[in-house]
Amino acid sequence: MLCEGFRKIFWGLIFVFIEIHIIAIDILPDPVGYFLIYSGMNLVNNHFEVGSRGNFIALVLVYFSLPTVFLQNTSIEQISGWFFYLSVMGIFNLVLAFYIFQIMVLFATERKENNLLRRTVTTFRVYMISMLLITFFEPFAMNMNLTEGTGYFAFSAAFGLMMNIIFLVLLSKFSKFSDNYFEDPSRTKGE
Amino acid sequence: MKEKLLWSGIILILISWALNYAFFQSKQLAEPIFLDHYYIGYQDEMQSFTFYYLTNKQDPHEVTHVQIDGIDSVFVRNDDQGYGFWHDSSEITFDREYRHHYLKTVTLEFNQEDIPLNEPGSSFSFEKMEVFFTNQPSIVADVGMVSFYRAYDQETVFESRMSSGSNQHRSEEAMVSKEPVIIEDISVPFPEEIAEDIAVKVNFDQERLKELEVLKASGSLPRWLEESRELEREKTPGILIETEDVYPIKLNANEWLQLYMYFNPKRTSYFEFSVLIKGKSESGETIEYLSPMMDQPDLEQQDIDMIIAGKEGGK
Repeated sequence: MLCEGFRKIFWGLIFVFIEIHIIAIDILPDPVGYFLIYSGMNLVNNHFEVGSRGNFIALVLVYFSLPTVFLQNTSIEQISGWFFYLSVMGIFNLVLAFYIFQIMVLFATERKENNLLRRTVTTFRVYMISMLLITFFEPFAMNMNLTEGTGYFAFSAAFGLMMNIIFLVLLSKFSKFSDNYFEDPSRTKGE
Repeated sequence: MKEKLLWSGIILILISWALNYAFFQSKQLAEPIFLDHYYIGYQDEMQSFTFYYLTNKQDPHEVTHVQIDGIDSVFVRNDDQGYGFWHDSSEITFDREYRHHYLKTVTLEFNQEDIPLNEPGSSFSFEKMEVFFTNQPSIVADVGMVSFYRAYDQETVFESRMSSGSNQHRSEEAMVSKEPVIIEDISVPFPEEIAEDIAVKVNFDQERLKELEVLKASGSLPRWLEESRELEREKTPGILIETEDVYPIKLNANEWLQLYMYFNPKRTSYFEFSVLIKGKSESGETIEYLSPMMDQPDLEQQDIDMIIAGKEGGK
């Protein structure tokens, strides 16, 4: 069940990151993605019996992301209501990523996968710090001219994409574990 | 990674949002700002002038029509309103884009019969106009100074042989007199407003200017002329037109006269007018010759900030 959870989170994130609009409708809708993440996190959290803040965020995002089904990132004008909306989404996504990383660390610790644990902890740190920085500098774009703004957006989009790919690749490792040699309930303790 | 770190990061992000948004709001203009224009039209049948204004990037103002006291009707030609199938009218067009503003243009066409110029030698000026926008309240804008004179309908005594302008904020004209003339004065308009921003030099060194005769034959310019275009203002040939003892300048028939005009590259106003040469012919008739020029400043972000601070502070 545990790795089924990670698999669901992985596919949920794919739905969230990839946006393919056919006649204005996202064929990989974000709410579906967040629901997959929500149910995946439920599976993992049930196992670890840890707090449910991550689940809660995912559940909020299922509803909060409904407009993105019809919203195309590229058609957003600067400093409109939707611009703020997408930024709030960005912050929520960061929080969600934080909790996903947290359960990954928990899993690797429990399985005594030291290499994986080290890699996860490093990725966790680099991912969170760089994404927080990108999000921190994002609002500066409204006080930039077109050339400066485009340069910043191109950089942050490329960098953000790279970080998310690293995140997904790492997550896919977790979904490949088998549940079988993981039955001893005495080891399943929280932080 | 501690959860506390995440939340303090998010708090910093929210602060960044709040401060950036506050700064953005503080830069918004209450209404569009028209820059200063120094334009003179010597009324032919139709004269058009382009006016420049700053407007917020967020919800930019589009001029629909303009009213000027004393002029019956002004035709607005929005340069950016194209016609045709492919034209997307919702697309915002602008001359230049800055951090928070667009520099937009509106071209006005003035018809001779709409301007009150009846007497020969009469003139008409305006400094303000009421501007109407799409879906926005109208404003009364200071636009600098625009004047119209009746066209000089006379035979010119000079024949213009060469004129050029450049994006280096200088322009020149060389001409040949068709008959003997005595030049008594060379002047630029708006002496009080723009004296600091323009310098004109006159050159009548016949020996060198004669070399320009080759223009007719080959079309290639003498080397000294090419070189003089690179020179600083102080080093180019000629004498500043303000110099008292230059006048009168006597020219025989087929003699040359050259004008060099320099514009202050740091200024923020738009120029379109003529240098006026006044003199007498041999028979004692008054003659006037207009050497037209136009020049636009290159406005950087700092210039825009300065213009806005100046114009908004003045209110």
